[in-house]
Amino acid sequence: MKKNKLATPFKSGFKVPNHYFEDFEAKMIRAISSEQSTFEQYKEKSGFTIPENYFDNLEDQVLAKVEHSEPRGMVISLFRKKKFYAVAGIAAVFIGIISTLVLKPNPVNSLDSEKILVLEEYIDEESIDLNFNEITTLLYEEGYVLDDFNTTALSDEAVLDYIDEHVEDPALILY
Amino acid sequence: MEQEEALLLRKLRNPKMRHEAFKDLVSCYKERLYWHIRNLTKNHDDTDDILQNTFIKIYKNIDTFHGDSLLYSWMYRIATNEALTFLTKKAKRLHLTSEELQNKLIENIESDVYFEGDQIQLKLQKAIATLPQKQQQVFNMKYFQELKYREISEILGTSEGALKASYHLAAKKIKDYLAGN
Repeated sequence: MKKNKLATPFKSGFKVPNHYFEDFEAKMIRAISSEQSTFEQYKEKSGFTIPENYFDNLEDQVLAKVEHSEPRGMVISLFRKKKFYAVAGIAAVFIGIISTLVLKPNPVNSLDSEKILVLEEYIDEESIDLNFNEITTLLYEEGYVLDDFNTTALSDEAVLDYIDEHVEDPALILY
Repeated sequence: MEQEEALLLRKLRNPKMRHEAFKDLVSCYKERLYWHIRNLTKNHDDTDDILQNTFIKIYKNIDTFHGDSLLYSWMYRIATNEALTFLTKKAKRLHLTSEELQNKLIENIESDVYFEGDQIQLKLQKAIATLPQKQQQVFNMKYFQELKYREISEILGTSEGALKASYHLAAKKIKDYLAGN
């Protein structure tokens, strides 16, 4: 039997319109592509359009962002727990001294949840964007926090030990 | 569809297949979610940001999806939340009420290069903007996206009866608006 030829095309008595099979493939392709672009209807109905080829690379763009936002590798603690507790203890003592002697406590202002939300949003929207120099200026020149703190009580060795154990970014040590 | 979703989910939860499965997921849903978000935000650039954030959230939280609902409705909910949060933040940033923001979005449509609608379509958008938020969502999903009430019910967590009432009320308000303007 020859390919694409029916054995008994006319025996049943049924007929097809003239040239029906001639452009059947083209019709099918048109039908399939219209099926695939069902979402064109949104444009037709709403009037909204999109930039040309917008959807072509969207998968790759999203994947690149996902990969960028994923944590890379496992973080391994450089310090043993015992050491951490010792350092934390010392730090707590320092904070206690600073908070009681140096900083004058302000009257307690309770923040209600709405204010906290506003603050969170302010931070989330990156309205606070201080660089390293600005932070240094705030700490030293504007006199916040360390103004009256007597640093001579700390030996160089203790400071170096502290930096060695707590500062991971070498760029900060160089400053 | 449910079987396809189950298979996709299994792949997404398998670290070795996750990357490829996620690509398939994005391919499959990018247009649907795009138009869902676009109908809410009206603007392409905002939609693009929200769509990408939506997919990132889906990727990061896929392990927390326990299959209590269908995957597509879960994704639609994330997209809806992202879009509404975005609009709320935008209104706050511009010191506008949500109503004023809706009006601004519609004003911007007129000069948007990615809007090719005629005057009637523009009028329709203006009419939609007068509806309460929930009615807008229902109308957009039913009229533009042609989702079934059952599907909208899954996504919005509202009964089909309430959705039908909401849609008919929205359609009536829109007709009245168009007749009066």
